[in-house]
Amino acid sequence: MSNLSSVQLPTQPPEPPLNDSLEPRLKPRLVELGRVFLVIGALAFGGQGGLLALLSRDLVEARGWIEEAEIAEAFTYVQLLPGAVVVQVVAYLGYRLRGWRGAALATTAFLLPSVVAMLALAAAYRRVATVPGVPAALHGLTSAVVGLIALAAYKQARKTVKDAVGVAIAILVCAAAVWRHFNPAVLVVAAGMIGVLREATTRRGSGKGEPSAPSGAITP
Amino acid sequence: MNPLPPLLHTGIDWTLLGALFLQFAIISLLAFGGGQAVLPLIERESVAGRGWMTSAEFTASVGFGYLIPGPVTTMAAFVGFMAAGLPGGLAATLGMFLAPTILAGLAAAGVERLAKSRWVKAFGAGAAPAVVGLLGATLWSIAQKAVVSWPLAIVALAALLLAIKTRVQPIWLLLGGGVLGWAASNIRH
Repeated sequence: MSNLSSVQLPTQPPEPPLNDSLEPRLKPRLVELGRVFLVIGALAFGGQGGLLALLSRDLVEARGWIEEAEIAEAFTYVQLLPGAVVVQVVAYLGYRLRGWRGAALATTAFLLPSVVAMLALAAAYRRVATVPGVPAALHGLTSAVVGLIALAAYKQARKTVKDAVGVAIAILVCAAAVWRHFNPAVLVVAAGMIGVLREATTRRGSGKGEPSAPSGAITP
Repeated sequence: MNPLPPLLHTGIDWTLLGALFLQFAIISLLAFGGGQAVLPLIERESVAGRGWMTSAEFTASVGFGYLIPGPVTTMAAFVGFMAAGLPGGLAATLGMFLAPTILAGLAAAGVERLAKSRWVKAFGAGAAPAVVGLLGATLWSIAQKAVVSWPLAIVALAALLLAIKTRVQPIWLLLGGGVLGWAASNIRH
């Protein structure tokens, strides 16, 4: 499994897909689409890198449903939207393959294995948590979770805190949440509004030549 | 210890299911920076805010989220189940993933303008550092309850260092932590 994590996500916006209207594309049947994403959902360990490897193997190499560039495009666009990136990449590609029905089916199939597992764990949790030995093991596990949340904070900081204002927002929000027990949702929205205000007060016309929409948009 | 959550309610509490759906739908729309960004919001709402679960249960569910495939935010199903059994788990899951799925579909439909809108981008640029602060606050709150002995502090620190310095998968860090926690308690007794 360690080879999955060695996959690097593209850091640059992808090139617009080549003019793929030249080749008629295979349109998967919905049953087949659901089956493929069910399997991917059951194997999607290792976050974004793991998913990228599975998508490129199962959708591009094995079936030729999409091109590698579309996967990169999906990762790039959904990164900008709120939500869990892996689920949104699946929804994006599902839409590209079979429209809204494809998006709904791909997402549902992808989430099914992990949600069923999570519900089973929740159903068992309070019964099992008192069995001798289990509380100690759970303590060990949750301590590792503390390490992983610290990692998430570190990664998010490296990715998003780019200037003094960012540092100030991070510190103030942390302090407000720890000592004043402010509602986190309010803090996030307030910080977002600061971002909007900053954008509004910067000079117009400094829009740095936004890349044009990919020309290879596939009509389902 | 809270009472066991009922597997199936005889009468379905639609108000509670609606609250779960709405809560997670709002939370999902604030996840700038990916799924992990909303863990602090979920902790706050489900532990202190609504009392749906204990802090220990929250932290364990995050661990399970990392352990099983898919995004860590599938732990919404765990929270929903603790609050209202199976229907609750489904309501929370639907709330967590419906809006992001629609947004991703819109982006795929050629509404890239949505994702590339300077206002959405600017909001995200401001909100994302706030998430760093919230993750810090969550870390503070759960570390106090989870890291209750020196061996556990070492587990937490080792997990962080290994995750930063190596490409080891979280699943091995969590399983290793579980084994070490179990071993440490056996040595003491």
